[in-house]
Amino acid sequence: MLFNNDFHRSFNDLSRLTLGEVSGPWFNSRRIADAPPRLNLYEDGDRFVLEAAVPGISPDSLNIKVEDNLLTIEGERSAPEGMDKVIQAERSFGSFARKIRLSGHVDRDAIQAEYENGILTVTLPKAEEAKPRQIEVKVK
Amino acid sequence: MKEKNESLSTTSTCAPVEEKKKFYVSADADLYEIENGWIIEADLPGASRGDLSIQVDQGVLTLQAEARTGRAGRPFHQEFGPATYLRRFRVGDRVDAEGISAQLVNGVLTLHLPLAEKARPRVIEIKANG
Repeated sequence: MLFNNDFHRSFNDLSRLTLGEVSGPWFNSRRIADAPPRLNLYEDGDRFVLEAAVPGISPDSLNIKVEDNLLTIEGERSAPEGMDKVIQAERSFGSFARKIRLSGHVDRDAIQAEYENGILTVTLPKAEEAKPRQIEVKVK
Repeated sequence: MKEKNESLSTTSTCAPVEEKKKFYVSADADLYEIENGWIIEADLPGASRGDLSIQVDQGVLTLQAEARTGRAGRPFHQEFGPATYLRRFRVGDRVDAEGISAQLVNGVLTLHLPLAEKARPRVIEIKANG
């Protein structure tokens, strides 16, 4: 899999067709991260699974919320302290927010989040009415 | 600062590169100068300690790591995936290779590169003559 920006952009374009919207950085008074975290969204039967690459972030500073079908992930990554002489800087620091429109309602009380090796995984079980169901065909 | 850049520099580009028919991803890295050495901090999301190798050979520091990400199910939207990170830094003989220490926390690798003894600035004492 590729990580470069063109790839990122092309998938954002695609997502507009399938999901509705995927937003970029969030604007507020704090320092804004140059590059918001990369996201993956999967649909796995009766749940959605979101992965976010958020290395070096304290899980306490992450905020996940769902309103209607809109999933928002917000957080802040602080720059290392005492590193005054910078020779090369490629990593992104500051606050960020990304939003993804899910294609169905989720059971907000059953959302679970895990953080391991810099990857946040959020499991969002679908709401009862959004789950796939078998329709029985009655023979007359 | 310019001179430091020449003696301690990165050799990879930001775009994924093909090497030996395998795709690598260049990890984003910061390089800081500290007293008597340097600090490298590299983002390796998805990599754990067992997946990481760091070596110094002929003045080039190479770090490589496997990131296992990806779930079952239909990907709706995808911006990253399983990857092998690769990054090289030319450190020359200014770094004490034996003294390098590494720490991997929450997907961020921190490398401490101590300045080689012979590269340290020293004060030459002038002996009074007579």
